[in-house]
Amino acid sequence: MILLVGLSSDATIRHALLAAHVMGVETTLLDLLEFYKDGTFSWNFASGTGWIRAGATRVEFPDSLITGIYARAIDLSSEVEPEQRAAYSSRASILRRMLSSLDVPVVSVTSDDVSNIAKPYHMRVLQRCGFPMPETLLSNSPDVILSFTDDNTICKGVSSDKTKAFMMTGDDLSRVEEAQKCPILLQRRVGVSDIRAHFVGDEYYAEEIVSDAIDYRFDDVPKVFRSIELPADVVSSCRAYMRWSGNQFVGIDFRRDADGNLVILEANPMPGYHGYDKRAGLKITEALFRYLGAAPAALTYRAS
Amino acid sequence: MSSKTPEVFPTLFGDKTDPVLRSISSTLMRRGVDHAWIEGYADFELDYRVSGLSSEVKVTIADRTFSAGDISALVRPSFGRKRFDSRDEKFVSNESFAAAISLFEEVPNVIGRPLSTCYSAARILSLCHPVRTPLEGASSEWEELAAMASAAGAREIHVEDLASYRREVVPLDGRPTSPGPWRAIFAAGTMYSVAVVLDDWALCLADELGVGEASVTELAKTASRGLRRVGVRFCVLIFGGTPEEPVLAQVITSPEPQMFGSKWTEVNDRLIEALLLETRNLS
Repeated sequence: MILLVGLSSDATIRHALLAAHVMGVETTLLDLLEFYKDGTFSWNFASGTGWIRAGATRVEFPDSLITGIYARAIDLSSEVEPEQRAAYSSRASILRRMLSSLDVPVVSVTSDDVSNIAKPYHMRVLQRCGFPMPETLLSNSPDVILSFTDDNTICKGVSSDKTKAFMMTGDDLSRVEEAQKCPILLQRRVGVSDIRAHFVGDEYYAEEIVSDAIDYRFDDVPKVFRSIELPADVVSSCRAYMRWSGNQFVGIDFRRDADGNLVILEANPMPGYHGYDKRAGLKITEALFRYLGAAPAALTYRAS
Repeated sequence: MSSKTPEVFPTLFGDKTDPVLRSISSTLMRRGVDHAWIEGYADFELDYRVSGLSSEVKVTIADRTFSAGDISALVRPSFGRKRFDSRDEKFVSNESFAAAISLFEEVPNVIGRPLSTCYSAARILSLCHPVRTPLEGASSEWEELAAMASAAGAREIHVEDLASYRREVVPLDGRPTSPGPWRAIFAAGTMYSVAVVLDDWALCLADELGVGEASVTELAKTASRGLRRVGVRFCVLIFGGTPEEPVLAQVITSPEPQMFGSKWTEVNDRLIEALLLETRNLS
């Protein structure tokens, strides 16, 4: 059995549950919101044993039936009222710690790699794993920002908050003084298409997205999706990042440049992979469940 | 800014009310050492570029431009992270903090790297191997926590309420005043030994355990070596347990001056020495 820990309203968790049903993989969901609100638990960190209850679901550890855990243990503390933040944040932290102390494969509990919370630092980590980065500027200086910006410059978030990347235009440049109080991140837009690769343990599935979108996740423009193989050197650098981060399930974003080379943008430690998986015929979930110890027999179905 | 220019330019990042920065700045001024105190991004210009396999950082303070290796920085938690009430304020706070993390990971001589505050207490303690850490539990059920403590041979339970972060020491047959859930360490006693560490230097601040000041200092040096992997150079370490088997109970990575009592002057001077270290002399 695979234990899923996450929000029952999270599209990725709902997708994983549905995929498990299609595949005949047994799962149990520990609802994150119920745990944060009034869940109960008891944990001995020395032995890695204890129990967690969220709503009507109570799970004992160790449980020989649980072969692996897919935990999208999102910290919701910044989404709740100020007086509830400390309680939510400490429960998120203790839950991640409880799950990390278990002797079964656990994915998406990011304990060692926190680099994704600061993109420029994250880029430096990726460079050390062998990835060259596109030309990027972090600055609060209007003069520096103006001199860097050309008609092929995008602005994106510095932190891990989900933001929509946009092309810098005259309107944005007229507001550049606002950057003085908080630096902004600009990047030279490279390439002709986007690539998203999901790595799970030793397996990966990559998809190329061809469109005119600045940010294909949000822009409503025609898109062509096709599955692709990654070059061996890119796979090798991806594996170097996985080793460095200790994270066995990552979603890595690239752009393909005009010469056909892949240029990395970022690695997502808790990928929302459901859209890609639907187009891939559930291959990513299949690899994920395989990594988490689902019986091979349960994965012999063929998605229609 | 005053006139004397050291080999590296010391910069202080944080709120003007921060007692550590006030003390350091006042000593630097008294010694005539040129330095800058930066409260927010409006006080300096950042030009941080990443391209290919390299990066370059330039910081301009009052018309003087420095590369990352030309400055040293003492960074306090008040820099880059702001209180927020609205979603917009939260976004700005996260963006500012992310920029601070990135900037200070590029500067070789930094005391108080913002990234080091992103690691959990458990992760920080795990880096202090081979120094032992205490047995720990967490629970919403007090009776189960007390049973764990009893089985661990503890005489009392040091409890932190997970909602309020309030701490108290509770006897095995007692009950905390906070509602819980709690994280707890199972302690052999209420005696503690405390040391401050800055790079290779350590100083015993208290030795209630009675293991000897030299032993506390050595333990602190050993425990802190692994912390450098996550950029922690300056911290206070609190040891509990017994004189025979001291355990590292807590690492405080942003200590306040009042923790040092009469020894603050010595710590203050060490901080200044570390800030004036040239990059090439950093281990």
